[in-house]
Formats: sequence, C-alpha cells, structure tokens
Amino acid sequence: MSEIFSIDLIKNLQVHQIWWDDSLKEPVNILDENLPGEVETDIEIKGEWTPIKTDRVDYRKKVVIVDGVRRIDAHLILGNTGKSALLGEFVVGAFNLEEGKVVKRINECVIILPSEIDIKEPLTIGKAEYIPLSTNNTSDEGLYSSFIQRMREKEREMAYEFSRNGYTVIADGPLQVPFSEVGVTVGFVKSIRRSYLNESYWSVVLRLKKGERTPIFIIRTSENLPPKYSWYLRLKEPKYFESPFFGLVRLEAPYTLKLEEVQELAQFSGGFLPYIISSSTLSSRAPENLAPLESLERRLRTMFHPIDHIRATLRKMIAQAYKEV
Amino acid sequence: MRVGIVLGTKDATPFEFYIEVDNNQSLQVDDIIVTTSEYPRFGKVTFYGIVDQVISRLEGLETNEQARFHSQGLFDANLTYYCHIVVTRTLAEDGTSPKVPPRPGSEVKLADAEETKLALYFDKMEKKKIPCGLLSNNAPAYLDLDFLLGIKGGHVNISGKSGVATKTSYATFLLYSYFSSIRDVIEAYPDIGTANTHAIIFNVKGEDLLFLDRPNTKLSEKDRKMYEAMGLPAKPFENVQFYAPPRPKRGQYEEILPNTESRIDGVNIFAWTIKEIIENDLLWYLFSPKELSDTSQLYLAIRMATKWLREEIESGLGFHSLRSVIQTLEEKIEDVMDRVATGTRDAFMRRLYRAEQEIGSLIVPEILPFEDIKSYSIDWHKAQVNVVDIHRLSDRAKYFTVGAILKSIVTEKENTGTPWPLVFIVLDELNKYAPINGDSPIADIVLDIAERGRSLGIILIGAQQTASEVTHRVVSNASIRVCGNMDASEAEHSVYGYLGSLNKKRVQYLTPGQMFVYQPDVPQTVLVQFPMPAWATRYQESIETGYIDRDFMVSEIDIMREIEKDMKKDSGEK
Repeated sequence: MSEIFSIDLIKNLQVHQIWWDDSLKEPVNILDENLPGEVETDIEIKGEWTPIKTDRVDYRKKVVIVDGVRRIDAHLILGNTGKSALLGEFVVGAFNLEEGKVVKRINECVIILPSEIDIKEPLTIGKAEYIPLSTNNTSDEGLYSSFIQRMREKEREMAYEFSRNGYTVIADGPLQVPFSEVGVTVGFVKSIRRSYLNESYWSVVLRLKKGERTPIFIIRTSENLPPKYSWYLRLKEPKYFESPFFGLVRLEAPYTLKLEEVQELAQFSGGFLPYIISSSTLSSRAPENLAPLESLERRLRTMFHPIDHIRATLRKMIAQAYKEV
Repeated sequence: MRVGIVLGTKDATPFEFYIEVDNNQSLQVDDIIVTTSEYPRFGKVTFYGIVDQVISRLEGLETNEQARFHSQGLFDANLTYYCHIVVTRTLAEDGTSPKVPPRPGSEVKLADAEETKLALYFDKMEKKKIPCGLLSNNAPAYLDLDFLLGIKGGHVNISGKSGVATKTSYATFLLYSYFSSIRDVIEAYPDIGTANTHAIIFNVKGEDLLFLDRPNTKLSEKDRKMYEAMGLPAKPFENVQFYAPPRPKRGQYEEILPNTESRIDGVNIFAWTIKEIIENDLLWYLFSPKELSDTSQLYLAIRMATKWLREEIESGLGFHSLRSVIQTLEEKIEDVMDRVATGTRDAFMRRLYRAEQEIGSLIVPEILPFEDIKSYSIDWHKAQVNVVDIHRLSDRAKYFTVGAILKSIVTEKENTGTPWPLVFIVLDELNKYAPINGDSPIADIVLDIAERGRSLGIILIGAQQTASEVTHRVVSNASIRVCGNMDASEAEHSVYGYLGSLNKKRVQYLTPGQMFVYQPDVPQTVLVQFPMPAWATRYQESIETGYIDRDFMVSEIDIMREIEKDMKKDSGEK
C-alpha cells in the first residue's frame, strides 16, 4: 500500500534523477556556531584572567552523553525546476556513563522538500519511512541545514528528557534553543571555529594545561537568541609539533542555570572529561572526541538502514513510476 | 526451554550452524538443542544438534584498546555469546530427513528427554540398545546392539591413557550394561539366551577385577543415581568365574595355589599340560613376536618340534613339564631337526630355555598326585563372565596365555559352526598383541578375531593406550570406538578421525569416567559419563565394615604363606 503510494508520490514529484556521492562532505559554510556577539568576561573573575585548576573526579552517577549521527541517502532532482530534495537519515542516542553503555537510540528518516511542495505522507523506501519536511532555502546548503536542524532538535529533546529525570547531560555540539527546555546540559563543542574572545584572553586559553579551564564567560549572540555560559577546557596538552588548539574544547551551559551551578559543572568537566578522552588509534578526532562519544557514534551508525538496499529500492521505484507513464 | 536463536550473521547449513544464546540463558559444550523451521515442500522441519563450541566476545570492537575502554565503562559493545552446532539429524513431519538449513532467527530450545532420543537416533535402535553412560543433560546414551553384536558391525575399540582413561572400567561397565539388560536383548534377538552370552576379561593391571562378584560398599549416592538414570541396577556381576595362573617354583608334590594376593577363595587356576599344548598346536605361543620376526627359520624348527612331540605323545610318552620336553629334545635334536640349520637349532633351544623359565609354571603334569581336579583349562561356558588374571605374568607368559585362550575359542567356534553362544573378549594392551609393525601368531589370531569374529560370534572389546600403534585392521574393524583421556598429539593421528577436530583438542581434558563414544548410526561423537563400578575393585570395597586395618592385606598374605609352609611341612613328613 505504502509502496504504491510512494511510487505515485515519486511520479507526482516528477523525480527523474537521483544522485549520491559517498565522498559528499558537509558544506563547509554550514556552521553549528552562531556569529559572535557581545561577550561578558568578568562574570566569574573580575579583572585579569588566569587558568583555573580542577581536581580530578570520577563521578559518573546519573551522567549521560547525548549525540547524533547523520547520513545523506540521496538527492532527488524534481522535474525540470532544477530544485532538489534531500533524503537523509539520522540516529540520536545516549551513553550512560554509570552503566557504561548506550541506553537509548532513536532513528528518523526525513525527506527535505522545497516549501511549495506540500505532502503529508512519508515516502516509504523498503523499510525506511522518510518523513516530509519543508524548507524555504532550496539550495543544497539550505536543505542540508534543515536536515541538521531536525537532528539537533531531536538531540535537544532527548537531552531534556534525561535532564528532567535528574541526569547531568553532556550534549555534543552547541546548546540548542529554547534553553528553557535544555535543563542541566553541558554543550560540548569540539571544533574551535569562532573566536568569541578578544586576543588578550587567547593567551590564557592557549596556555591552559590538561584539566585547566578558563573562567566562565557569557556569550550574547543576537537579540533572538538567549545568552549562554561558556568556558574553554584543555583535554590534552599539545606536543611541540602540534597546534596550540590541540586538545582544546569549548563548553556551554544554559543561562537558565545559576552561576554557582555552572561553576560546579565547569569544575566537573575539567576534573572528569580529560580522563575519558579517546586516543588517536580509536578516533580520527582524538582527543577531542571523548571515548564514550566515539563509542556512542559507532553504535548509532549501526542503526542506519542498509544504504545499498535503500538506493537500489529507490532506483527500482523510480523505474516503476515511469514505466506506467 | 528456550535458550537462543539461530544466528543470521554466520552461515547456517544442513550440517552446522550457530546460535546466539539469550541473555538470561547459558549453553555449554555437549548440550543437545532443537529448533524448527517451516519450508515449502517439506513443511515443519526439526533440527537436532550438539553444541561443540561456545564463544563469547565483545562485538563491534576492533582493537584491544577499545575492549580496555569497555572495561572502564567508556565504550559500549555488544557482549555476544554464541555456539557452534553440529546438526545430528533433520526430521520433517513425514519422517524424511530433508537437507535444508535452519532459518536464522528461529527459536532454539534445549532438547528434553524425548528430543534427546531423536537427536541421537536412539529411537531407531528401538529395543536393540544398551545404556553406555549419561549425556551432559543426564539422559542416558545408548549403544546400538546391531553394531555391537555383529549384526551390522561388531567389536569395540577403546583408547586412552593408562590410569586416567579408565578403559578397563568402561569395558566392564559395557559388559555389565549388556548382562543387566539381557532380558531386553533376548527379546530383540531371540537367538541369544541368557546362557548364550559369555565374556572373557583378561585382567592386565592389579587385581582390580577379582571382586566383580562382590558389591562395592563404598559406592556413592551420586553413582547410584547414575545407575538409576540409566535404568540399571547398582549391583555386582552375578555369574563370575576367576582364573589365575599357578604360583611358581612349587615342589612336585605340592598343592597348586592360584598366584593372587588379595583373594584366593573362588579363584580357579589355569594351566596347560604338554599334551594340550601339542594337541592344540600352541607351541608357537611360547615364543615372543620379536623372536619369531628376528629369526624366520624358527617357524620351521617349531613345526618340526611340534610334529615330533605329537608323535611321541601319540606313542604314549608323557611329559610332566617343559623342562622334560627340553631334556628329551636335546638328546634327539639331530634326528628331530635334521633339516634345520645348526644355528637355528641353537636359537630354538635357547629360546625354549628362556620360555621354560618364564612359562614353566603354567605347565602342569597330566596326572597330579593328591589332586581332585582333572583339568586346569579354562571352561568359559561355565560362567557368564570369566576373569583371567594375567597381570603377574611376564610378557612372554601373557602372549602364551592370551594366544592359547583365543586360539582355543576360535577353534571351538570354527568346529561348532554357529555364532551362538556369543563371547565377548576384553583385551587391553592391544598394541602388544597386534602391533602396527611385525607379524606373529598372536597378532594373527587377534586380527582373525577382528575380521572374522563377527561371524564366529566372538566380539572383541579391545583397548590400548595408543590406537596409532595397533594394526589398523584391528581398529578399523571395530564399529564402536571409544576414547578417554589421552595426549592431544596422539589424538592427531588419522585413526581418531571420528572425534572431529574440536573433540581432538578436548581429549586431554577428559576426567576418569568421561568417554567419547562413536557409533556408525550417530553422525556425531558424544561425550558420556559412566559411574564408578557397582562392584568392588579391591578388597576394602568388598567389605561392609568402615574401619579397615592398614596391614590387613599384608596379614592375609601372611596367612596364605603360613598355610603354604604348613603344607610343605606335611608333604615333607610324608
């Protein structure tokens, strides 16, 4: 039933070309981080910054790491409009540090369509059901951005669910709005692409030793977005031939928390995270990719529908759709 | 009881497949399982199999480092526990055996008692079977009598390290199982009557088998339950006769006593007269296989000596001992062996001298003074089980005894022309009697029994430490093969092919009482556990009292010696 419907759908969409490229990288100008705005640096320490030491702790009770992985399954060229749709799948899950295992996994397949195309039913390919989503930005970047946004939204929902149940959540990537529905969540930003601080502060950031952090500061990006707490943390010190950014991560906490609570989280992050980093043999993104994060991502990837099967079925369905014309 | 599912990530075939064990379950090697799958053409097909390997690993990890992270709670992995299954049988509802694989994902259960019977084809054996031990699930395992009694095949061959493998105990246990199930056996094979099956056990080690007729008072409750599980009574053998060689270096007029230590009552003596040796053509067995293979001319000398002795005896001359034969022969050697080279004559006489030293005591005069007994030959018809104790004899005397007894049985069977009554022969150290290299009269007779025994009604339960050192034809003629503890290197020989590659590695871990049993109708070798003997294997086990004087054995021997002395004194006075 659903397959017949999906073949009709393909016909209606006038899908006549599909393409995929396994070497497809994420468009470089899609950034998770927002543009820098105003930064308050004297929230924790007034005056000149110095690195803050943390004591090593191994506290895992009710601590989870939430992350997601994504995959682009195909681009569909729609009719002669030159517009395209994106088929993608993502899996979001949580690693419970107390139990040492992945405790929750959900996956979702989506088809991102230009907003003028209005469909309600999902596109069924094999056992995968692609939920239709619309976007106004019909460029490749726009489609991709919507796809990522959907995954981020699901990550935030999962993090909030754990947080409401009394968990401390370490979420991969920057915090997602609304912060009121984030709870006690620390955003874990692995790649330092934007500098939120003045150059004068960078000397302190790059001087950080393992387990040391900067004082907490507040980032105000725009009027639409609420402010958030942030601090830099050194997970591993670089060797003489490595970049000073090696082993450096930035963490975020929602502004809804009190400063004392954030300080506690910051001390915990410095005393715990540098000791659960992955090694270069374990992850290509070591040491910033924490070992449980790497594990979680691996386990999440096993949830993807078999790509060969998806693509073969899609090709067959398109052929069937045009056979009847 | 559900234990897991058929794995889909590894090939499932009609002959082997894998199952993943459920989290709340466990399976071990030797467990018997059952699963079903639906197939067009065949309907519901049931698969029976035995677990021959269990594997556990962290799935999804590639490096040891990841496994270490996993142990620190920083890396998730799927702890998988799966088993390799050897399919023993596939069964469709119409009774056929379609060769299809089980479907991945199918539920797997532990086999219950009924399913165990089907898995190992015990149902096909109907009443033609006897218990041969307990399986890992405590269900009895059975031997197919068609392959034991010579109907479709015959003979048992048992391999294993001395002392650890409990070969003789298992052979005796099989006999016990047979005789205890004799009513069912007779029902299945009407030709066999109770009196129509006998056994001759050669006791080669200690005096373990001299108490077969007495209950083992130290038998544990666990062992009793094992007998019960197999439907066997835990009792001693009922109808046993014991034979032992006479004590050596006796005086001419001294009474002949059995050469045993722990038991003398009820022990008969076996010995031969020179007349019997010549009449039955046993002179060959006085010579060891090595001597015969070293000097080929010796055969001629033995034949001529036999011919001469036969003529002498027929003409009325009596020989009281081997020594008297030698003395007479020495005088007449020129006439008797005129066609034999001098060197060979000397070799023959030299060896005869040595035989006299070692076997002399087994030869008795034809007419014994002060003696009621007419004959010292073994009459195996008189008892169900006959134990022939040869453990104190020298190798040469063992060759002679075994050779002479086996030959007399074969000759008798050939003369009667019927396989009934059946005779089981339990013979350990087959590598001595039928070694892989070398030819001798004793090897010939063992081989003869292995090859023709089935039709003659002689069933050989042979045993040896290393089957690789026994003539292949003897081992390969045994339909039922059994293997206890042995070196893994020995198990690598092709003669143990029936074990399969994984069991070959396991043989070195078998404990006393554990045996791998192979029989032609069951495609997989199964591990069985058999109980401690319900009969005593030494004097202490045969008596009820809890306390046993440490010196008791010694004192009993002392008493026997005292009696001997008294008797000597008496005869001296006379």
